[in-house]
Amino acid sequence: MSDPIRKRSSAGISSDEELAELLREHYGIVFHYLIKATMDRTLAEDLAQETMVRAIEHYERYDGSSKFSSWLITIGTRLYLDLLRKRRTERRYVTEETRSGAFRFETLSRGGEWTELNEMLSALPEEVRTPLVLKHYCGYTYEEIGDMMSVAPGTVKSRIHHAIKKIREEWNV
Amino acid sequence: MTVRSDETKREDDTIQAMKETWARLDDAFAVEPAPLSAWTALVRERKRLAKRKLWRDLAILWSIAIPAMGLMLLLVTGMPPLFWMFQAAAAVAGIPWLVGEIKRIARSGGRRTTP
Repeated sequence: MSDPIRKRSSAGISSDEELAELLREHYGIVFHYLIKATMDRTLAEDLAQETMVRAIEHYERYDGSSKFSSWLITIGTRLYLDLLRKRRTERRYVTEETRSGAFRFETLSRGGEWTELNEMLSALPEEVRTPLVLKHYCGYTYEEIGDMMSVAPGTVKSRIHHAIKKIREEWNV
Repeated sequence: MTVRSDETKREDDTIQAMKETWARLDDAFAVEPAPLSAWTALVRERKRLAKRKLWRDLAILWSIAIPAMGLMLLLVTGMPPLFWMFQAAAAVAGIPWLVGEIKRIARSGGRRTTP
C-alpha cells in the first residue's frame, strides 16, 4: 500500500489546512480497508467518517512513530471491534445473509464482480476477516495487528492461517 | 519436501487470488474525497466542538467538586462522626464499583479507540 506521507509527528501538523489535507489524502486508504473488513459499504463509510472525526479530536496523540495511515487504520479497527462488541451485547445485528446479499447487490450494481471468493470472504467471521485484511491487504506484521486488535500475535497468526486454510479447502485451489 | 512446497504454493495462490479480489472491490468502490475546503471546515468545526465539550466538562466537574468539598469541610469541622460515616459509605459503594470497572476494562483488553 503506497503512503506518500511516511512519518509525521503531530507537531509537524501545524495548521488546520495541513491536517485537513492529510485526512483527505488518507480517507480512501481507510475506506478501502474498512470496506474489506466489514463487507458493508454503509458501515465502512460511517466508520471511515468516525475515524476521521476521532483523528481530528486526538491528533496530538499521533507521535510519528508509525505511518499516519497506520494510525488511522488502528483507530478504524478499534471502532469496528467496539461496534461489534456493542452489537453482540445488545443482540442487535443484521443477519450475515442479509448483509452479504446487500453488499453483493451493491458491488454488482457498480459494475464490479462477485466471485466465489468474495462469497467466502464475506462469510468469514469478522474477527477472522479483519486480521486477514490487515495482513494481506494492508501488509502489517502479526505483532502490529495484535497491537491494533488487542490480541496476542500468536492468536492473529492462528486466525489468519485457519482462514486461508478454510478458503483454500472450500475454494479447492 | 514436495508436499510442503505444494502446500506453500497453494497458499500463495489463495493469497494472490484474495489480493486480486480486493483490488477489484477497490475499483468498484472508487473514492472521490470531498474538496479540501470541506475537510478544512470539518477540522475547524470538530476542533471547536471538542473545545466546547472540554470547557463544559470542566464546568460540570467544578460545579460538583466545589460544593462537595465545601460540604466535606463543613462535616469534618462541625460533625466529624457524620463525616466518617459518609466516608465509610463511600468506600462500601465505591470499592465494588471500582473492582467492576477494572474487570470490565480487562475484559475489553484495556483498549482505547485512539492509540
